[in-house]
Amino acid sequence: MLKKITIFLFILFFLISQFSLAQELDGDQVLEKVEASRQANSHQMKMEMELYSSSGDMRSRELNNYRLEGEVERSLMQFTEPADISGTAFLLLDDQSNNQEDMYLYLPALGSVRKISGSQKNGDFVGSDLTYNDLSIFSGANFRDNYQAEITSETEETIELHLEITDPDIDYSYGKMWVRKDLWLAEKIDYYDQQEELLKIITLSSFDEIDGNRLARRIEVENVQRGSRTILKLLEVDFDPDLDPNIFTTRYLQRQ
Amino acid sequence: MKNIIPKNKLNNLLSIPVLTLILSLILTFNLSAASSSGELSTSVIYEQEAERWQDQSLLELDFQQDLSANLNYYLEGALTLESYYQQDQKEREIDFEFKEAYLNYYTDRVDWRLGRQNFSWGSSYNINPLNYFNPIDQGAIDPFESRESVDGIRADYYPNFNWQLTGVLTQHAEIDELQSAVQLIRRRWQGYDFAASVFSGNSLQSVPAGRNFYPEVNKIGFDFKGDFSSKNIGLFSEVVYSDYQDSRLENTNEIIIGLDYKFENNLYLLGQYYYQQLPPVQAKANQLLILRAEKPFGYFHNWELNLISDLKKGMSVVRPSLIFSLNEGLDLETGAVLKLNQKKESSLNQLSQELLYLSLSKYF
Repeated sequence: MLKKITIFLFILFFLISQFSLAQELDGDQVLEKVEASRQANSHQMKMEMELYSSSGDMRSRELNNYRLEGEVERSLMQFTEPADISGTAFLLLDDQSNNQEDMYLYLPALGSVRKISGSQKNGDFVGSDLTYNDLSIFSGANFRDNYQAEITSETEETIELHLEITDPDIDYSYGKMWVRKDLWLAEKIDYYDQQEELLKIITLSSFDEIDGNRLARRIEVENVQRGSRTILKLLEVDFDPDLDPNIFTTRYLQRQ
Repeated sequence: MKNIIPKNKLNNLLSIPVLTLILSLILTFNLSAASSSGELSTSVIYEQEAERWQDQSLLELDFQQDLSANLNYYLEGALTLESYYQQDQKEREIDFEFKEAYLNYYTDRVDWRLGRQNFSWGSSYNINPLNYFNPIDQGAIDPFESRESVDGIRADYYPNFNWQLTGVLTQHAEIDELQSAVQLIRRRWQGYDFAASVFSGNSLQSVPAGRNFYPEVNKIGFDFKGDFSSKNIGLFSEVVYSDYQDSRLENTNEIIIGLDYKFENNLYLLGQYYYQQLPPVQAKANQLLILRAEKPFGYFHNWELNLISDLKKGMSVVRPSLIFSLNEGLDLETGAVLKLNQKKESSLNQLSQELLYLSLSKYF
């Protein structure tokens, strides 16, 4: 009898503790847990981007992405395929403490590095369905800098969040995010345009864990208004590699 | 297109040794870490003023190879086949040139480049008074985008990320004279990049236009580029003061100021104003307005519209173009160069003539 009571109390305690955990978390804490899925301060990734038009035509691009966090957040993107954009590279230096962001572009045809205006981050990233801010979902997003979240519903597997946009650079009116409880990773994000019409559906899949960092290896972005979609595939990734800070310089870009 | 014919001192001094050096290094080092790419294109062009058809085929090959961690070379060769048709007459020209051929050598603080090369000094769009070295190709559809490379030596000194000091010694593109310049760049100062440069040599364009006279001149130039307002609107400017050594010529100022912005719907707009004093004593200053718009359409395609307007003479040159992506790396481009309110005395009249074109390009 005592054994049965013990088991009953144990199960009751477990259920209460699980219930309490979900009850205790608010939307921003869920975002915090999603952010915590990525511990690394730097990475290097090789990505493939497939672009599909509404008629089904496809173009692909391959790029390398290097990122180093610190006082100044540094990011370098180099395109390796196809031939007409191969060699093109972006360097982004974001000094958040001084609210200063600098972007540099290397074009092989020019053979030189040019500073480009911050407005180049508006619109689509190299003709895809992604914006520069969407890209950060893949490369380790600072969700709490961009959104305030509120839990709208919850199941055993997922938590649904309403995302209020707090970053003026993000041009959506609001978003919805579904977070998997077992991984604390987003599996789907919907973004709505300024007219509050559904604009994009972002679906994350092929989840993986590398060196304690959880991530999605495949991201599909569907622009439901345009009928186009972009699939981002993570081909190679290395977290906290021994990155030379000198690669995040205009000198390195010039050497391409 | 102009042929670049070996004809002068530095050319002889540099071109042959550089190519010989590159060839010997290729034979000496392992053929590893090499990359190549290229473009094959064919164009049909109708020149309206000359009333003639032209077909042009271009094979451009780029080759780069690392010989060691600190040493590499780059070759860009272009083979052009042009045919002209006018009434019953037909002319054919074949031309091969090394557009660029240089050797890079990197040390701890200094990057060296030796050989035929382009310089991209200046932050404004295409018209760059700060480009003291590479003349525009007046025969090209977009003359400002097609600058001729020159033979020279460049050294870039990087004391740290935010500073760069560049020294250049080149051969003049047209005459047998050495040109020298130094540029100091300060990056990321309050969101702006600044550059100051001094130049000693000969004018890039002949004075007056069309004559074979390139007077000696010393120049001082400044430029900056950055963003302003919370919308991150791009702001850029170039200023060049030219001190001509010939007493028959007046010293001049050139000023460019411009803005650019990319909207959320991917429309990119650029506008710049160019004020150019001319060295002949009685010549009046040019005032040009340059506008550019481009936007993707149909997901993979693009349209562009360029306008250069001579504010004093009232003449404009408009260059609309459509670029269709037919397949991966295969583009079909069609466009025109149109002159509006054509005036013989306008400096724009000397640029490319009115034409229509259709071009198919394959990148590999």
